Amino acid sequence: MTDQKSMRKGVGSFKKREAHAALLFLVIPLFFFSLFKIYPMLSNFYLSFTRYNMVSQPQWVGLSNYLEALQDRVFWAAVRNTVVYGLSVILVIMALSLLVAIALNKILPGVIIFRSCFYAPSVISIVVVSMIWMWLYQPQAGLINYVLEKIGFEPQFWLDNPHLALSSVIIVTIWQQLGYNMIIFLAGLQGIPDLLYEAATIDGAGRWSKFWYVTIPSLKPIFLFVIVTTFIFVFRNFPIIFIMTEGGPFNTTNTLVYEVYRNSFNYSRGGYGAVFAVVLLSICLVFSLINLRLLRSE
Amino acid sequence: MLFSERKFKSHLLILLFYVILIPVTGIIIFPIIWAFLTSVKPGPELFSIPLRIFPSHWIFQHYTQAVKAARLGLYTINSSVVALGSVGTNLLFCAMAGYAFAKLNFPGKNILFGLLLATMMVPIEAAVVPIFVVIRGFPLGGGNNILGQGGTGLLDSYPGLILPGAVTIYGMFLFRQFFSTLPKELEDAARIDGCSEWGIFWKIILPQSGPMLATLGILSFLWMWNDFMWPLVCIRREGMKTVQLGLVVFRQELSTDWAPLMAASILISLVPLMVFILFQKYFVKGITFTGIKG
Repeated sequence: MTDQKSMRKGVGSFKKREAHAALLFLVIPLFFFSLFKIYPMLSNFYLSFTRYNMVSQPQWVGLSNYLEALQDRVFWAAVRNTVVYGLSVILVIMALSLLVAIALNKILPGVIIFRSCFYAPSVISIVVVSMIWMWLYQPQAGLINYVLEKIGFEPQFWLDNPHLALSSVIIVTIWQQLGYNMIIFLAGLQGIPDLLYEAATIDGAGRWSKFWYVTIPSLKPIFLFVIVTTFIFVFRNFPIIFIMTEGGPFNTTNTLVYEVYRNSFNYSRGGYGAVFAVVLLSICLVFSLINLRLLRSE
Repeated sequence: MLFSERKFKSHLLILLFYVILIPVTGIIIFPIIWAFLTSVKPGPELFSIPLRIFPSHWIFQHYTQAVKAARLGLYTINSSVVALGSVGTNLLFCAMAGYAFAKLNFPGKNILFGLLLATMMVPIEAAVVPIFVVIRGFPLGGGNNILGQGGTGLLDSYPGLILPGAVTIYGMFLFRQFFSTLPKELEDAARIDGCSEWGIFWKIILPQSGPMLATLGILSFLWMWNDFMWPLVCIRREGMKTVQLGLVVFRQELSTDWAPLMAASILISLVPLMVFILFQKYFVKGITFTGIKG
């Protein structure tokens, strides 16, 4: 045996040893990943072509769930509301949390306290947040109506008025997610090299042009990340609907995730619910892929 | 002259900063303070006109009422067990996976990692029915036979609550990113000395990972503590309910009794709020270490 050969053998066995170790390290995590991520996604897709009462074996019914959904007003209401809910929250959150982040980027006395106050709503549960806001929105004794009346406005039925219910839910979600996104923007702002600002100063740029031509372009990946995470947060926000509105009034706050739950666990229509889940899943997957590109481009 | 004018201007800006930010921050935090004030007010003052901001006298009977009627003690034990269990599984298994992806070479590594990241943002809510079916049909659990039939599986149990979120992709990604930044010298030295990969992971890598373990530990704890949809689907038995489920049941029982409801809300939020106040810096780490830098 020549030296070269034995060396190659050595490298080969080292590689083998590494692959064996990797298998040991990965076997449990990948088992969980397959059982609770990959399999449910595929199974969900399959269920959408079946009639499934959640107990007996699913019966293949072809496209009939999809055809039913296309003619179902509840389905279209859920799609529409989910999109409106997501877009409204995104637009306001992006502007507001960037604004707050810029304001709180300077190290001034008390700035940590300000940041903490903005962040605090995002550490408490959506259930508690919903409870607190139902009390604020309460028509007779709620604080919001009381203040409105004081300054000369009509009190409102925030969660029972079909024109206001979705907006009321949107406001709560913005309130809860503002601080979280502020922290993301802060991290982004602090990651912009001073060099860029210095160069802009030398070129004679003022405050505004620095903001438009240095800050905003540098934050591009942050904007994308905020868009992705906020959309996902909104799409999976089941508790707020379950607790505050139950999808009502007249389906004006009904969302895809709420219909998945209701069809499967209240109406025992797992197959039909799976159609809503497939739509939800597809949207999340698209956002996940955007996120993947983001992480990869780092 | 010019200098002092500039100084004056910057002082003015700082003043403006506080004049605007103090009220805005006050409005943001006010709902939480209002919930607390409501919880310590005597019942009739909730509906008094004109509205009283502060209670005429502070009472804490709504808290004792909430603890007794809502069985918060029992729910707190349940939530703590599943949250801590989830911290344990997430730390161990995510760190293991992170190690394999950061430090080892094996065929198919990039494809596998890509697959993980591609599904990272797919939440449990989007596939809740199949997960429910998996947990209900768990072999040999809850009266099931070896094929997973006949019983209720892991529904209504701690493992049933923990398992679907036991290993998060976010956690694997967090560790993978962190381990990639650790210098290679120590582990290479250990490898030459014949140390096994498990030994390197356990004795060299993990001891350097304190901040990351704390970050993922805190986040997993809060995810589990605050989770609602999965417990709602998984739990039927009263004795197995988590704090969030308990709060919703409590509300259904006394729909208009806001003071004890706010008391219960404050009580179950104390844990996350305390965790946040004590471990603030780890929240920021959790965000910045996934590579989201400008």
